Amino acid sequence: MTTKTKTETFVYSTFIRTTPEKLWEALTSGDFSEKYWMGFRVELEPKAGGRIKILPPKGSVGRSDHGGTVLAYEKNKKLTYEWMRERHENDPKRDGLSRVTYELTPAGEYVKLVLVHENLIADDVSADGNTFKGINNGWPAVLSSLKSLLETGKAIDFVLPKDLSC
Amino acid sequence: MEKQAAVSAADLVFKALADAGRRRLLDRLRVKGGLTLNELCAGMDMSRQAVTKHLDQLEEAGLVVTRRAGRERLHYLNPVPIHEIARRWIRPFEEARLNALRDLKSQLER
Repeated sequence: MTTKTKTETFVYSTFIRTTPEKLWEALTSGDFSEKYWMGFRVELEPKAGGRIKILPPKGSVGRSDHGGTVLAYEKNKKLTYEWMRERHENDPKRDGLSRVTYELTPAGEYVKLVLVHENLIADDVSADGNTFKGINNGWPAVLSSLKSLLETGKAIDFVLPKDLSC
Repeated sequence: MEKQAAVSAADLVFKALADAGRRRLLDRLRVKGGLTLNELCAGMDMSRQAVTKHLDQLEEAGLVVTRRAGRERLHYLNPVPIHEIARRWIRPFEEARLNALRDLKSQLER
């Protein structure tokens, strides 16, 4: 019997001055996502059971599609999908893939975005703060950049090494 | 109006971070997320009421997010507001030099 690693959950939240419709578009469209998500393009089949692709910037080395199957799809409200199927599906340390959920809740002039990333293992987390590797370093940067883009029209310019293997 | 909202959100973060007890709670959640109130109370030399009050303040500032799991509320560190504040005063070209200084400091103080 193999012992599976204990899993972890990360939860992130931010209030963005926008509408649920605009935030949904930003989360699910490639033209938007490549601006705030370090060049990654989201391509989504808009239904549960469909496929989400999160494609690395053109010309980057060693990166794979970060997406998987769409598990829940409620337009402008909730999206759940598998994370990094291509890279993680045959990883013996894992008991199933990790899952990402976005929850959008209107809050006055803002929308509360909660991001839950669950069923993670120790390999997914980086103890080094000086990197975008690791779930714990990547998401806060992506969410700040998304907020900045929607509120000011300008995303954050991250300086990303060309060979970053994530 | 927009500026006002931004200022008060940052104010809440700074006020929440101004207390050593609250920073300790954040440190605990940084090591391990998803802790219950009971787990967070253990090892803190303050009353359950005081911990609850601190957690409310951290949650209001957006530094802690809670999720319900059955009858329990699980607490998670949310570093997004700190990330936003850090970016506020750091220009992109300074980041590499600041990281170099930080590495030097941790080397020397090891």
